[in-house]
Amino acid sequence: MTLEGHNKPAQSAAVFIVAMALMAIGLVMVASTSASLDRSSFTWPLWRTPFGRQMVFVLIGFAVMIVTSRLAMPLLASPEMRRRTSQVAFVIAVACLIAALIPSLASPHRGSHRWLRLAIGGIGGMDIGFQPSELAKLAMVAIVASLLTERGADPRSFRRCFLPASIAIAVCVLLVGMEDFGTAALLAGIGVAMLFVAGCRLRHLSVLSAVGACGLTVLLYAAPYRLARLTAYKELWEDPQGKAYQPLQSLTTIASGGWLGMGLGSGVQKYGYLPESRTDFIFAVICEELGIFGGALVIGLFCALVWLGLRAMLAAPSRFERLLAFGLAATIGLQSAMNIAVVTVVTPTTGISLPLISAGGSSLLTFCLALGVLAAISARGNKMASLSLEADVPGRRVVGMARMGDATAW
Amino acid sequence: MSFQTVPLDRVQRRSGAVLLVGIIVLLAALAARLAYINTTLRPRLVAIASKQQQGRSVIPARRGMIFDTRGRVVALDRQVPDVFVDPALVDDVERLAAELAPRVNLPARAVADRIRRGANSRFVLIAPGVDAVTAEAVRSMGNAAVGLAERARRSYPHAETMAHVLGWVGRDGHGMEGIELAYDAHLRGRSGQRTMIRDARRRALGRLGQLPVSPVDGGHLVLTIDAEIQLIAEEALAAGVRRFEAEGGSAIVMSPKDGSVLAMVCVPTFDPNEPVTAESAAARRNRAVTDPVEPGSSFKPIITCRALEDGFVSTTERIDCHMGSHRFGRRLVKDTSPQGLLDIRGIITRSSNIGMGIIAERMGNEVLHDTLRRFGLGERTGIDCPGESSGVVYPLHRWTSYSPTSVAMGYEVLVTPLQLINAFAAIVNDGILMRPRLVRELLGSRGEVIRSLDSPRIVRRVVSSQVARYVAQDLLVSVVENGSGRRAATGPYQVLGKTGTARLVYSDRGGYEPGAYLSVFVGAAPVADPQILVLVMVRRPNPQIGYYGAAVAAPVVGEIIKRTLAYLEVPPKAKSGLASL
Repeated sequence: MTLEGHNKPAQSAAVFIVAMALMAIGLVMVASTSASLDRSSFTWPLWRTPFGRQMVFVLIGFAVMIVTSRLAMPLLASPEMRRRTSQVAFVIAVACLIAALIPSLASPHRGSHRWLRLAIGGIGGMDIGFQPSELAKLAMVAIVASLLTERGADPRSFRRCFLPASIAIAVCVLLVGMEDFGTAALLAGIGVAMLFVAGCRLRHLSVLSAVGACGLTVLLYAAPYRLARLTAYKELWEDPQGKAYQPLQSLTTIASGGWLGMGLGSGVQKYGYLPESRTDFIFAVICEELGIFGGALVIGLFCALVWLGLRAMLAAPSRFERLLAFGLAATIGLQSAMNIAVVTVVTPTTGISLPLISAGGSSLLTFCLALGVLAAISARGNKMASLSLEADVPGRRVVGMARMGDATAW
Repeated sequence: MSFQTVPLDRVQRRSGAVLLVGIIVLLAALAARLAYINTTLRPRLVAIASKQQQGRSVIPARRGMIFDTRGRVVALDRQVPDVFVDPALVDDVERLAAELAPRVNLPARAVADRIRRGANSRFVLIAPGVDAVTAEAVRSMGNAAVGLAERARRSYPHAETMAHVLGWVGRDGHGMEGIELAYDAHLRGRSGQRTMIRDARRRALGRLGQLPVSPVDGGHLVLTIDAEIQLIAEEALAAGVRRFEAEGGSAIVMSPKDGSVLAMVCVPTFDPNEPVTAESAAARRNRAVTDPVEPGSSFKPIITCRALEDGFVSTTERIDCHMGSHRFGRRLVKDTSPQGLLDIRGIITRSSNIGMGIIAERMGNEVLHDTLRRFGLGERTGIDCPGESSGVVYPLHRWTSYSPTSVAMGYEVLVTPLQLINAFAAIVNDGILMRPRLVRELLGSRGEVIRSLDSPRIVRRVVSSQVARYVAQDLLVSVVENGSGRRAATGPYQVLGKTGTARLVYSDRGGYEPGAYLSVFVGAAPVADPQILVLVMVRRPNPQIGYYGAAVAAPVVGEIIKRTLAYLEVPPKAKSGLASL
């Protein structure tokens, strides 16, 4: 660890910069969308306003990201530690998901999200609670990466590798899917992608996909409003004041901005026309105020994050880290794509937030944690490449060199 | 183991990279979707946005004022406060209603109901147009949920007196009757418009959507009516109607030389400040122009003019009036004062139906019909008053052999009071028929003259000057000096005129109603140079008290002439004795 000072990993710095840019855009847009006729965005005490809360989350999130990127390095270096950490995270996440299903521990509903209340009454007037489904994303990625790679696991083995990983995915998807269909679908997608990338047999994967599709269908029919959203999406222009209200308002908001936008803070749709304009639909307001170009810039930043994740995955010094990097990059990329697809009415409405931008602490801190880990993998990858040294599997020096050749050739 | 490791690592990197690049492509596709939304879908979406976001608010134009001929304001807009409640700011409806109700003189329950019914709006009207004391009482509540909003309200200082001429203005700011309706476009102006961006609760965001369109204030009007004469006519008519326990009546004062209407009143009347409280629509009707009646004997001078003009009778011929009873065909006609031989002066002075009937038979249907049309009967006078009736002159083919005697007595022909007085005006005005008018000038919103209607408008000459002068100065003067119109000469002025008493048909079916009369008098003064012409019709006086035009209408005309000429400072006639001194 004495070497890190004079070999500053450029890629992890790029991750921080892109993440900061997205969080800054998010903070400004949260301030803009929380303006209303009744109050300004900046009333005192500031931490009780949406802007103030988001400001606190961004600051904490950034600290979490930096600290994680440092602390994760030794953790990732030890196979035993990363296995333990993954297991602990998974157990905590599952416990929280189950706890959130118990009414007395959960906050009242907000949309389809379940909240777990941490401190009764909150701290300093800030009501503290978090969404266990956010933590579940990280925990699932970690445990699947661990189960598919650790202790000489062979991903082609059904019993020793594929089955445990599939069960872990299924547990997360089902627990989250009780309340939040969108996030469950996202988790299922990421899980299957990780199994595929790990090198599991396609035969096993296709069976799992069939079972998963049945499961998601059951979840879909279990709650009638999910079907209603599907039909509303199909009849967009027929019922503008009823079922199709939200998707139509979302499109209206985007189109209002034109190419260059109405100007920061000048949007009108946030004044009661567009529901969830501060959280799930904040991307529409970005398009309204900053134009299609502003929206494209945000999309570009997400692409950059995925690209940096891809680079980290290619440079990862171990299979665990490679799979972890893939899982985290896929989570950020897929979730942002799903959110934007909902906002642009490519898919039906689901309650999925835009990473790093939507107002809300749980999601922000989760993604900061994820990006911190990604930055750590990236930094370790660079360092290992320069040292041509792998700590966890002795005798693989030559393989490591060959891998670098692969990466540059690709 | 190391044998397998290399391909697996490579497989992992390759498939991972492919999937992540796939996600990047997905994101790029969504950026393309944004472009699609902003091009293909844009027109429909922008229409939705502007429809829901833009709220139009009207900037009201000021309605013009109406002045009488001497510049007195007879109609104006006043700013009055409306009491309203914003339900969004009300915590306890019952308590607020209990506190507010006594101040606006309403039952608390009604106030509470009104607030509840408008719970979704932000403006619930509680009391429109309250006075200053009420406004202060409401203001002193100091409750943010209760407000006062200034609103223009039409106000008529002369209230009942001018009601029928002016009409009134409805809640929506449109003239509903009278001058307010006839000149609505001129008075109303054009309201402006402000486009505001509103939030989803319809509250203005304080940002302009488009540049506001300024309102164009309405223009003002100057009437030919003189409010003072109007008041004189109304008082005299109301007194006459009261005295004879009549159903109602109309009175018109005109300047015979140019057709200006100086006063036009109907009794009973109503308060145009509160038009909806008038008992019935009938009371709001301006009967002086809307209701045609059979004029009775007051019609005789009109026939006489043509008879003299075309030589059907001479000024010296004496006609046998058969001592008050004569059959025309099978119809028996009677006179109230039986006479033997009468010249035309005697026939008019005594109002002999038989004498007049004999002359009319000589003229025949065609000449009589033509006479009526020449005097402008059976067609609208063209006065600037909505709802004017054209009266009824039957087409010639419906006339019978009895028609001449009927028309000679003022039956079988329906005329409005205005048509009758206008025909008389032609006789008094040396035989020239004028178009009557109520408006003298149209002013712009800043008081500049837009259009002057001051020059008299001649319709046609209906009779030669000599004949007109003879009928007016000789026959009609004789009616007042020696005949049935004696009671019109109440003041220091010499008056000319003609009485009339007509039977009225049932209001709901055909046939004449026993004991139902219309008492008419048309008079002018001073005789030497008539300044004013006055018509009074009293409908259904109590026959026990009196019903002849001579008894009922003539004194009212006399009273109006006396007071009006004094007001106009017309010198009384010079006593011949004094003149010779």
